[in-house]
Amino acid sequence: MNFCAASSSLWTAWCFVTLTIGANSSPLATSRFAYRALRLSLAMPLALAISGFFFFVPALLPVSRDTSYSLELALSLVATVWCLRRHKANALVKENALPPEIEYSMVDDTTAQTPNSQLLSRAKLALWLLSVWSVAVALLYASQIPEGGLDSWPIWNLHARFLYYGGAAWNAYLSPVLSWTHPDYPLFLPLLVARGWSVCGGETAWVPILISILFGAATASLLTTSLIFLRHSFFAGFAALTMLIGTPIFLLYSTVQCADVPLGFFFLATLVCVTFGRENASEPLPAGYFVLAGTMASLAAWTKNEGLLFVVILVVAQLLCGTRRQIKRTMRQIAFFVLGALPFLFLCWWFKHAFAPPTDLVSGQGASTFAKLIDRARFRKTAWAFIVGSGSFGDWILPPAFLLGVYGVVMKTQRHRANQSVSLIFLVLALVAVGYFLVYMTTPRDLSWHLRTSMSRLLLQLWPTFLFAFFLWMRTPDDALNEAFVETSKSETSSTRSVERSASAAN
Amino acid sequence: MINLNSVFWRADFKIKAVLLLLLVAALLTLLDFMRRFIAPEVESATTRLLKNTLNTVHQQGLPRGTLGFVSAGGAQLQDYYYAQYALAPRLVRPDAKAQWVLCRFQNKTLLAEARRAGRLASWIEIDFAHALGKEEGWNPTVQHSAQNPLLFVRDCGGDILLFRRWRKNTTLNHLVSP
Repeated sequence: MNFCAASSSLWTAWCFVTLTIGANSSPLATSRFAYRALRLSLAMPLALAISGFFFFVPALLPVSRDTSYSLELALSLVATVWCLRRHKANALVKENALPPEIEYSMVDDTTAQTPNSQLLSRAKLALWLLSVWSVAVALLYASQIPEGGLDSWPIWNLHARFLYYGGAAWNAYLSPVLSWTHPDYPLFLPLLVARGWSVCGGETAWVPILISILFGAATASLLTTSLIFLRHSFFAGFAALTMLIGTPIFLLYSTVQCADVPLGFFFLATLVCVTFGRENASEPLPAGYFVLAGTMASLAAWTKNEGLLFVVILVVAQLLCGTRRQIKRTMRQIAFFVLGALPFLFLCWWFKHAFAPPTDLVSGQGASTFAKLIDRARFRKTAWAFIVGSGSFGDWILPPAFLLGVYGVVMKTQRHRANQSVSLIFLVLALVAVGYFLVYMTTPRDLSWHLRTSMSRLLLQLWPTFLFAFFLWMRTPDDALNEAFVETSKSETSSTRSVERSASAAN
Repeated sequence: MINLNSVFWRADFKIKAVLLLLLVAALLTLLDFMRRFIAPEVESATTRLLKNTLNTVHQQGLPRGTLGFVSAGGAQLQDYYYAQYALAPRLVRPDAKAQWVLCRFQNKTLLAEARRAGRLASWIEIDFAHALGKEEGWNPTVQHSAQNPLLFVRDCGGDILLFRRWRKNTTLNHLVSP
């Protein structure tokens, strides 16, 4: 029953993603794999969230665990019926021929004959090898530290143990005795782990390990496939993936069972969905993308407190980026976003309101807060930590700033319809960074300690989204290669003509 | 004659070179990651550590699956964390299974105090320095890693470590306060 219900959540999530972003939008048979990978990247974490939620229901409501799992199964049936009905409706619409604009985002022309098809096949092979190798490395490393890293065993897995073993007393960890475990942290990750243990029939280190690696893989997959679809370019996705996988700290945190990679995934997923929605200029508004974006953003809030800041900032940024002419459309986008966010935001609010103690960073504020905000020394220290942290971020052999700089110089930026979305994403990232900065400035904890222990993880949360925005902004390697090919052809033609002219002149 | 300069700076060469650079950087990073974090000696040291510890413990008569960990008196923060991580979930259950907990006392005074206060119902002393094969060499990376809870026991080398029987109705506060 437990296993069936948990599996059904994957189907529910798959149906939800299909309903929101469309099932048959990919017209080319060869792009179906990438499109399925895109949908799976979005569906899998959502499925985990749903299964975690149904594990939590008996703690919230007077229902037994079996009843809760039955509800989970029933939800998957509802999703199936809804999906089938929608599929039929879509088939009817397809008969009347969709306008091509609607499929703008989904058209994959990477299979088109290009002068670099050999390079493409080699790059695809390299991408597969790199992905498989990274997963193998992550598994190897995880098997060496099965308990995970700092934050995983004293916070996330500890909370999971209370949820799994505690029964009706699951909330005993909210006691002040265990205040160091951050009992105010949302329960997304602990619930997944606890549900995983309940499915496995006992506590095993492999559940949090696999969840951790799964989020790393989903982030990589989503980053790659979304760029392939949005920029019609395999190489844009390839370049982004190499940058992400090549970030040691990303690999590290994809194995140590912390919440930063899942949070980074939800940031990315939200902005990918928003970008898909904004790029699709069709009428009526493609509401599904914004509903899904809202769901992903609310899951960010359900994962870590930083997610709440992200939700607020995203709404503000959408308002700031909407032009007056488009204000109606922007408001509708935000309305659908909020609609999608409501279920998990409500759950988050319920937990915070009914169970969790106040967040230490908020409850620790007082009369000294303003003094801290205007303290120049704190400002300099925090700013310096941001600069140094960003410069040395990732623990790369070659600094990512150098690699991205070289990439930018060679590829150059491109005027593209996606540039509006790029501005939105950079604005969101900047505002989130400002938010983090203010949290550091006003932290009731020792500032040096706080910066030292969390800066790299905060940057890691933003890293996949930054890469997404960067590669969306740049001209794609495919465009650059095709342009180079055209230029070479032109110069060859002109040189042939000049040779012919000189030959005819000699005659 | 081929103009090497023009070939080198051809636009498509630059683009391919950048893609290759990213790929090579990612590959090198992966290799470096493996070198730094997946060293075989780290794995064997950890495995040996656990094996030796558990064997020693079970030779002393503790049944498997009944062990929790707790540190008491003068414990470092890390030990305190680990204690609560491993034991706390079991304490909240009325049918908690942990019968024994590992205590760490950093000095004999604290140990004597604990005995006097009756907090040690019964105990077994383990010579961890011997059990862990200290003479086989210590890997500084492993020894000082704060991230691996398995290393807690190893870091205790030289201190007095005891297993005490955990009494039912013991609360978390009883266990962690000196």
